[in-house]
Amino acid sequence: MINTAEKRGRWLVLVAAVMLVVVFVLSFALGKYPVPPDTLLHVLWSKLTNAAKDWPDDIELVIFKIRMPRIFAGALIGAGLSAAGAAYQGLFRNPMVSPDVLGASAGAGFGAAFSLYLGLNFAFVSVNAFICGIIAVGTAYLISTKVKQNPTLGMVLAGIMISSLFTSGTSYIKLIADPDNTLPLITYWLMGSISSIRINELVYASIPILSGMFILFLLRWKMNLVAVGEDEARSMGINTKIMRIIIVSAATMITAACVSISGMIGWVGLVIPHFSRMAVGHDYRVMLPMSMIMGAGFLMIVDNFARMLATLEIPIGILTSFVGAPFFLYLILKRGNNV
Amino acid sequence: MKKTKTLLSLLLVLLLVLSAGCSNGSPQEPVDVPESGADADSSSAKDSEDSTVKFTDSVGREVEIPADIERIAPSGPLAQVVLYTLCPDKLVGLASDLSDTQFEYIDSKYKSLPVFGNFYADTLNLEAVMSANPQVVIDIGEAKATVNEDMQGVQDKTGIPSIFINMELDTMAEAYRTLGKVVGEEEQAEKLAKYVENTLAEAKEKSASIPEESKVKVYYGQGNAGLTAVVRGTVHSDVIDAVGAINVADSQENIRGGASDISMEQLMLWQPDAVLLAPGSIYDDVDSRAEWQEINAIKNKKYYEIPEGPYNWMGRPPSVNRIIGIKWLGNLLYPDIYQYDMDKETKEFYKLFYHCDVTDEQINKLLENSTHKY
Repeated sequence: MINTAEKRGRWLVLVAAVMLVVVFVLSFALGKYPVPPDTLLHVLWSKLTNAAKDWPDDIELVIFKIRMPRIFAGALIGAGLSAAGAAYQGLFRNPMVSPDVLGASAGAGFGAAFSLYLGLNFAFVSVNAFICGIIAVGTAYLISTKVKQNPTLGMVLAGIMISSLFTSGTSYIKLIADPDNTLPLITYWLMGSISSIRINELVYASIPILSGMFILFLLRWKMNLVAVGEDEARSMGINTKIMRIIIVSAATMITAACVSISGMIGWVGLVIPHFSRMAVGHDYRVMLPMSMIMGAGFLMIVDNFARMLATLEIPIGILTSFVGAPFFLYLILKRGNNV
Repeated sequence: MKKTKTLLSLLLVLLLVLSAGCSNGSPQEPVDVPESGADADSSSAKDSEDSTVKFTDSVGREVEIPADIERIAPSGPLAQVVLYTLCPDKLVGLASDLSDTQFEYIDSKYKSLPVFGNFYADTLNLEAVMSANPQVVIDIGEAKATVNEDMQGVQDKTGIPSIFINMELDTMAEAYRTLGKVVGEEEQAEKLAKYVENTLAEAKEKSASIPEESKVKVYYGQGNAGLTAVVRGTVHSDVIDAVGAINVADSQENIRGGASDISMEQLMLWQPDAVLLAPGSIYDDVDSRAEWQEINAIKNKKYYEIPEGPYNWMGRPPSVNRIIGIKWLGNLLYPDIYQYDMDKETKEFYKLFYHCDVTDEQINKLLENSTHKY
């Protein structure tokens, strides 16, 4: 029985991975600038085989300078946030937890807002966002170590407190920012967007995101035990304290890095792990990779809408909640007991 | 699981190859493919690109731009306003949609233009810009800290030369002349620059003639309570400074710019001589709000609504609309010093800048709550 469920899960992961590749290639074909599918396939194939370029410059620019960075960003950030969300939900044994629960997003948002306020250049904005995200979670963690009875609850509460501190800091900066110059920049930055991501930003951010995901991937079996309960995990010989530190660090690294280049993209980290669980069950060995695949696919698809819906760009952070929330509601109502 | 791993690694290899493929994007021989999917205009644009000129923009970036520019994309609403005044028919798209009330002053043929979005709102759709095939992308306004990288980024991604022109109140005339050269509309640019220069010079001379003690104290309020003050020293308050009046909202010196909410008590302490209310604020019912009757300016009927159409005359966006704003506010607060016939001035300004013959009815609508109030 367990065997068949496991097999089914693996099959589903495989199917999802194939679909991810399809979505990935398809995303290159979508956008306001007309690129015929045969030209696109020809260009992609020529790049793979290193054949000579025989297509116009504007096609090259559209595919590789405009679409490619955002497709990679969508895949990376979607997978990262979903993995971080899945890890946190298991660690805190709470399905309402999302990657920003410990203050990573609020901290990163504050770092970015402050840097924009000071008029720093974009590289500093991202770096400061990342650092502040880490500081926020670090502080929440240090506070939680003082809570003796229930460190998990302590961490969530400390995270909520730190988040709200940083959020009010951000609000204060918005209040004193120049309303014509800085305030719009901060507001739109916080809204979340991957349309203007630069390729070198993406390369730097991919280091913490991919390594964090790799760590979580290695720990996926142990996460099963942590998700069951602390005492049970301890009885199975797992050092829950160290596990918690590792999972929190990896998930924080991912979240802060994602937010630092994209702004706040809500819902992905909360909803995708649920979808994944509905599809393949609670076993982290399949659920975690499934979350990553679904998250990557989801954000790539939503970004396709962001650039297709209107001639102007729609910030992806708005769309993720627009798409994510009703779909999530539908699933809850339809299969409420499985959530 | 094994299959998944193989698949994932395959995917990873694909990604790596792709990214490697693009990073060595050395300039290979561009070969024109006729059935490329780009529209027919691209060939004509390519012809004129044959002759390019070097242009150094306001932040020192050297950009090769076509010598003969017929197709321009604005990068934001400010650029849109300015380019509309200078060369409306060269715009291939808009940064933001115009409302129906704005189209009372702007020819409806521009309704069909695509909307690209605003770069600094992260809504600029680069592919939509490319589809419209402009020869140059122009950003106009106050220089943001990152404007250099920003415009270079747009240029790298679209392959379209992208330039920034600094335009604030005191650099407006110069900006028009520069832009006129870039887009080949020197005659119109000179007319607009002259108008701007004359208006500013007149205002400078006239405001200097007003002795400090007889300067009018002005409160500029907005929002649905009228208590969001436009603070002195911001671009939206520039017009008040330029005509030689005093914006009373300067107590927030620690607050760098910005509109900030004040209390009724603060306003009573300030006791401004005149109150300016933003369009859509509380002008219509301020005389029925009891607490406002404690303000002398309200009691004495010295409160006005700022004209709007197609843009607010005091800013929002802070662009050329402020030029007519200076004439209007000067005339409103100091009619003996700024002796303008505002009906005539409005007609002239709208003709020159917005290419629009305003009717007497429109003028009355613009000025009924200020200059025409009595």
